[in-house]
Amino acid sequence: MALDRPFSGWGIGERSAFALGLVVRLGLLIGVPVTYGDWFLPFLAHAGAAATLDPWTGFLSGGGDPMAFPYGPIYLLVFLPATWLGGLLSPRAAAVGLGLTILLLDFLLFAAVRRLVGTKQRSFCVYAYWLSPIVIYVNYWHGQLDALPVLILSLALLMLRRNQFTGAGLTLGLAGAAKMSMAVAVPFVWIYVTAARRLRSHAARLIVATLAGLATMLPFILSDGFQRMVLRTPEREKVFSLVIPFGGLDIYVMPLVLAALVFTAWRIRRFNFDVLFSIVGIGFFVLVLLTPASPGWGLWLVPFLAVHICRAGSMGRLAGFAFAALFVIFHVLTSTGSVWPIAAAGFDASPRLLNMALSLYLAAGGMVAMQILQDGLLRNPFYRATRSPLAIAIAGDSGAGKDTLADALHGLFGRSTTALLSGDDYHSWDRINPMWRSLTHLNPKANDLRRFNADILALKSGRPVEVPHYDHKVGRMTKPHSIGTADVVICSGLHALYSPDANAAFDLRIFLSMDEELRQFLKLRRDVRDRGHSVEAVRASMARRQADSIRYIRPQADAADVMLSLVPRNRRALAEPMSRNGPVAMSLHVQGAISAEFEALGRVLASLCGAQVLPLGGESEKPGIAIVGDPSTADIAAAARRLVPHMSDYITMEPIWCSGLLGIMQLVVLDQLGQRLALRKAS
Amino acid sequence: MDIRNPTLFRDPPSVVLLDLDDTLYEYAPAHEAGLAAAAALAKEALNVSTRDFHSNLDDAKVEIKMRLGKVASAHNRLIYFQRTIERMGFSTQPVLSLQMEQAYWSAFLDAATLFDEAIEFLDDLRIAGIPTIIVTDLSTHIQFRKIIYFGLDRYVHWVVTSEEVGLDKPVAANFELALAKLGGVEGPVWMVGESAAKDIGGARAAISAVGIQKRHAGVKIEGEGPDAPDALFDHFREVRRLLRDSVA
Repeated sequence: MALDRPFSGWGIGERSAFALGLVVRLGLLIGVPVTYGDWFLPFLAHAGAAATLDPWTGFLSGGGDPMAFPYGPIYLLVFLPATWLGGLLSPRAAAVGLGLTILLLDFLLFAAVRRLVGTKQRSFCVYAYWLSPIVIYVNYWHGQLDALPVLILSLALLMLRRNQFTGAGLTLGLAGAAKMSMAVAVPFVWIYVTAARRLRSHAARLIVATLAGLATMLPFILSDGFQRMVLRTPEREKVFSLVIPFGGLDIYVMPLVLAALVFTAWRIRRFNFDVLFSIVGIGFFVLVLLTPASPGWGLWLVPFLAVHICRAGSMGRLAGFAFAALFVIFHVLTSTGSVWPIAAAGFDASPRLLNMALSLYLAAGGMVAMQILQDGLLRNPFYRATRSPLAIAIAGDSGAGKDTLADALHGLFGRSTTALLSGDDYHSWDRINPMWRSLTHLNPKANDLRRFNADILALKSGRPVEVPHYDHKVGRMTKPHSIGTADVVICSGLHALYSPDANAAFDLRIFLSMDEELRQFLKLRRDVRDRGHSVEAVRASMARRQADSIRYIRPQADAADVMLSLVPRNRRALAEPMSRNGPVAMSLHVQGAISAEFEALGRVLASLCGAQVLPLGGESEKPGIAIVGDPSTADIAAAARRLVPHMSDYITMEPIWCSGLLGIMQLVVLDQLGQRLALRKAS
Repeated sequence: MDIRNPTLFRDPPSVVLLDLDDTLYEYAPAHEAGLAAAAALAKEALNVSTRDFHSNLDDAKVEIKMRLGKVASAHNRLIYFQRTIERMGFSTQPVLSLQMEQAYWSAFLDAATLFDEAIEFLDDLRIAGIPTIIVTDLSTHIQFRKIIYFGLDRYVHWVVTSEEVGLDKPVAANFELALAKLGGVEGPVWMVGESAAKDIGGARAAISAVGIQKRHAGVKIEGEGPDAPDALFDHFREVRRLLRDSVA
């Protein structure tokens, strides 16, 4: 449909703005920008006629100007065809060919930037990009060719957002090969994929692909002409323009600031794409603002500036447009190549005016960079939510399914990013210890809760811990092992919600329970029928534990954000534990503080998964929903896409979804976590 | 927006009837995703190739539609899949048929997205105090699931499905029941739908509704005659403007 009518979704304002931008562009294309004729056209004419892989050397030996075309093979490949074809007709047609190539690249860049902006703010992109004074000035007035590398970089970023790591790496490398300055993005992208644990397994692929893209330039480095025209341009020296004198030597400011930014990115560690995009944008602002930038460099900022303008509030938009206008005013006053309309008007700018224009342009640029830092990074929900690891507590009685749920969450958040802390590892004594005759495991005194809490708090603050391990097979503590830092910490145990201090550290507190009749049924069936214990012994053990359960375990439900309980669908099915085979049909009760928390979940389960969802919340129970259903893993994955799309940054790239009620529990946890993170962001 | 009978839009509507499938959301990609999920299940469970599955499904659909005629159950995916499995040489497989139906609808909904500003249009109607009724073919159960999935129940006042009427649109009873649920209506009735015969022609013949047709790839437009629309739109923004202008 989008292909049938590419502008069908556009409002009248957007259409008019697009048409206006197109008219301005075509108008400027007809009045040839001076730079084309003087610089690029003779070289492209030579390259077309010579039909050689090394036109640079041939051009110089023919007496060509070394400044004529400071670009490599990728530029040549893109700009040659239309320009050369035009040149066969006339020099004027060659300029038109070059202009049309720029127009095409400009349009593609517009499409790419529109995609980089979120769907909601996309309609503003026609003002932020298509009518941007920088875009029109650089491409059509000053006649620079920077649209090409910026387009390639934008495509790389788009692919990266879609997790296409090989393509993104290769394209990023090609952007750097087309224009060295685009390589500013490389360290940030590399840090993005290596520092974030959930992406790390793809890092090698992306880095190798980047190097492969950059390497496309290698064969040409041997050419003498290429070296002189492309590699040793005076533009490179601009990097070292801003200096602080230091003991007879100079400190180069721009590289220093850029290095500090790279270091900052490295320290952030937990990235999502939006955070990366903002940091790369700030990197380009540093590069452009702290060097005496050529007009073409302004285009490097445009994707970041346009996205910022689209997403920002009115102040941000004002600053963005002011910067774009001041950038153009400054360059119109100072740059060669476009100064002619001013000169023709007999206007001669005083040094004071030029200095003022420069200062204002830098001030506006600094302001925009600060806003990007603030909106894109410091206020970014993901950034704010992940300054410390996410911590989830799962408390509940033995046999309630804590380990099963912990394992299901492990598969969701990813093995390499998640640390599991089990309360069983903190039992005070080995199984043969006589203390167990007087205390059950449910008694807090039988567990080293002080150490358990200290370890929870350490992991939450991002420090590794040494934890003991209880080996259930032999009933003995083994030597301690270390748990490293993680993005998600899952603490499960009989007393996971017992200590108020540790409770405060959790982002989500879950209490898991099973209907008492159902628990007794399952335990009797297992211990008597399958393990050969006597019915009396099993009942006696259950009775002994029940007192402790009521005293120590169940009260923890009050500290929980959400209660998950498994309840039999048919109590009559529990009457004969010894003779009844097969699974017991269960429903899942999900309860919390208010019923509104579960409304979206209930709707998705009922509509997408075809589950039955009934309200809970009689006088004696917490509000919530009862769920009956058997969704497949595909149903659960689809439900997550619908229910918690914003949580995709938190879960692993290849999540292991569960089916049935366990899958629904995964959904509940994601949904609850999403709601709590939103509150954390707001606070 | 292509307004063919401007005089009909001078007054605001008293009620707006809406078709659901392919009018408020695009049907084709959702249906394709659903079929792909069902075919994948057939391959996994019965080792049947996608091609065989599709050809048997097509035959099953023809057979069922012939047998049942134009009623809601003639669209029932559960019966399609039951019969498809049977036609492929297996006996009736209740569990697999149900699984296939669920796989189809889950993938269908996962891939379905409302047209841009469709919700905003419904919200405009809500604010203007104009009642809205969805008049749709198919069984109530799945249509309710769709309505809940898209969150349309927050905006729409009434729903009429062909299952409760007995026969699919364009049969007049569908539109008559819609107005009867409302308790009768004075003034213009708008029918927004994508099908020339079922929605535009059907509502005009039954209740003299003003026909506003949603146009996109694959939609048949009648130039003149009983099924020709009074207005055509590509984007809900246009019909929102039409409403605004008529209310003003």
